[in-house]
Amino acid sequence: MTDVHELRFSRQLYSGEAVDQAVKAFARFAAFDLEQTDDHWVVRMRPNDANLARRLRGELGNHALGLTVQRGGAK
Amino acid sequence: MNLPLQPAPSLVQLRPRAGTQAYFRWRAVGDRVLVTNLEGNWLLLTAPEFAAFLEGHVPEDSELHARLAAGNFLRAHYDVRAAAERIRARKSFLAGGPNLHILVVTLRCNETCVYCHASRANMDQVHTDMTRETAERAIDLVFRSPNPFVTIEFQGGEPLVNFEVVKHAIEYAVDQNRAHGKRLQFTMVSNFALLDEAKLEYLIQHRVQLCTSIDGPEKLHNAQRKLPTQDAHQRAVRWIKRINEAYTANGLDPTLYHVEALLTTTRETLPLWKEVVDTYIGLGCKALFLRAIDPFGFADRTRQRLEYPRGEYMQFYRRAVDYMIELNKQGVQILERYASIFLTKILRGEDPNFLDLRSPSGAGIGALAYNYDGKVFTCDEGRMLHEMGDDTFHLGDVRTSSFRELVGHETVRAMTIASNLDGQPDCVHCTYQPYCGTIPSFNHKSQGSIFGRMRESNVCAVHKGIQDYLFEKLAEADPETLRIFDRWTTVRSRDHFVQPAP
Repeated sequence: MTDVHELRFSRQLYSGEAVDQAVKAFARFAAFDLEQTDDHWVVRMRPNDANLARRLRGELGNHALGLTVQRGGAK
Repeated sequence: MNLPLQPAPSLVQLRPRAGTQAYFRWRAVGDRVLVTNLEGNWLLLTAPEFAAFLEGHVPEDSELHARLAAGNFLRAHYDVRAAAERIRARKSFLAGGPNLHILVVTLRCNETCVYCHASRANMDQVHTDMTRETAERAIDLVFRSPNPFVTIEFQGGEPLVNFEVVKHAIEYAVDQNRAHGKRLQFTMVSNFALLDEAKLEYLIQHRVQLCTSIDGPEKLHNAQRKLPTQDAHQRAVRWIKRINEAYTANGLDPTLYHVEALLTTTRETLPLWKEVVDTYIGLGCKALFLRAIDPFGFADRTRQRLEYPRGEYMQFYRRAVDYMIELNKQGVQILERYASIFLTKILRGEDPNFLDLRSPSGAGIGALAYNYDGKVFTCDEGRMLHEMGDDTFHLGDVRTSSFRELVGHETVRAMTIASNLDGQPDCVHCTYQPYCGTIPSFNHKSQGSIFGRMRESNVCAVHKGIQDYLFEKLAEADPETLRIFDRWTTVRSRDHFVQPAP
């Protein structure tokens, strides 16, 4: 069982659809749990391989950011 | 061979012929055309020279061809290795990690400023004081930064209100640095009204660099920075003189070691450009930062009264810097900080790492701000927005967040991408792109997007206006002005403010 890593995407800065799409793209590499707060899209990630956690976290964040930019921003 | 003199062609008559030029951007500056390239080399061309360059008719044996080739503007002669070295030098700050760490030791402040950026609290709001434990956890994070140069800046509110925690933070940081061996510096931004001889002795003994706010002549300063006793200016001036005397008494060179002061330009400041410059010179200051007002804190609420069109600000800027150049010609040493930052990039090909004027910006990757309650933000502006009810730039907490979580936070990634001018619409084609920078938190506050829209941005208007002014001066090529500009880009290290090696 690997550790849970939490990523918090500000709703002011990230598109929720982009975060969803990024999570789907990385679904093969980790189990994900998604939650919304007033301010954030919260993604809890449990990587299949603990050694990949740091890389996965960074790549998922970059992918969500790239998809947000493609969509023209958060709104 | 030089090009024959000929009348300047209209730009609309030019027939560009791609293929001979390397990548370049251009902008009319007076009667010249400024061209810059990817790595920030620049040339000021006459209109016929620009036409020849654009149409690919520059004779190989001409002086212009030699200048273009030396600046890496010609495709056939493009030196990729030299371009890479120039870009690496300009972006050297990227390898460092956060070096500026802002500790907001209290929100309490004894002054009430009409534009307060810090969202101050009244003096009885003691719950806005940072505790010793919070300061220690913040400093633990400071030393997690991989940057070998670390500056801890004490801010508020008024940091002297919580001086016991400032002292504790200094002593804890010095102690921790025995294990880390960083080049550690302390600065404090204070209005000095609560300073006394005992505090001054401590600050000088511990090599804390002191900085204050001076809004210009006494009447303007006291109207904008309000103490119940109506003497904010007199108190600040008295302590500036006393501190400078103390530096001299300690054997320090007064041209290098003196109190730095910051100006906030409001509508009332604009007609007083000469009085502002004279006030700073009278106080022994060697630098004046003609900062435009920010839309944070109280300034947001009082904007209608304090704000001004950026065209009026640029008139103010031009008059003030023209005057400063004239004074320099008469032997007075005073520089304008914006000009100094831009000129260092333009003339030296280096970046002085001013966090609001670099690409990408310093938010989270060059600086972190630690609030009195332990909350950590990408920058001081992000912290101010939190005080105004907007938590967009909140990254974590000193008690629970790791350094890696803070600087690798999804918000920091977004701000870094948003402030990278190589990917910013408009900026990517702007002639001044190699020397410029944008502030994501300012864009967010003023335009609702961290990317911003540069064509409507006040910051962009000011940055373009200042660079227009500087390149006009470079085009005039007055030898005395060029010597003054060269001096404004010469950085003299103030090693006394670095803590002694552990």
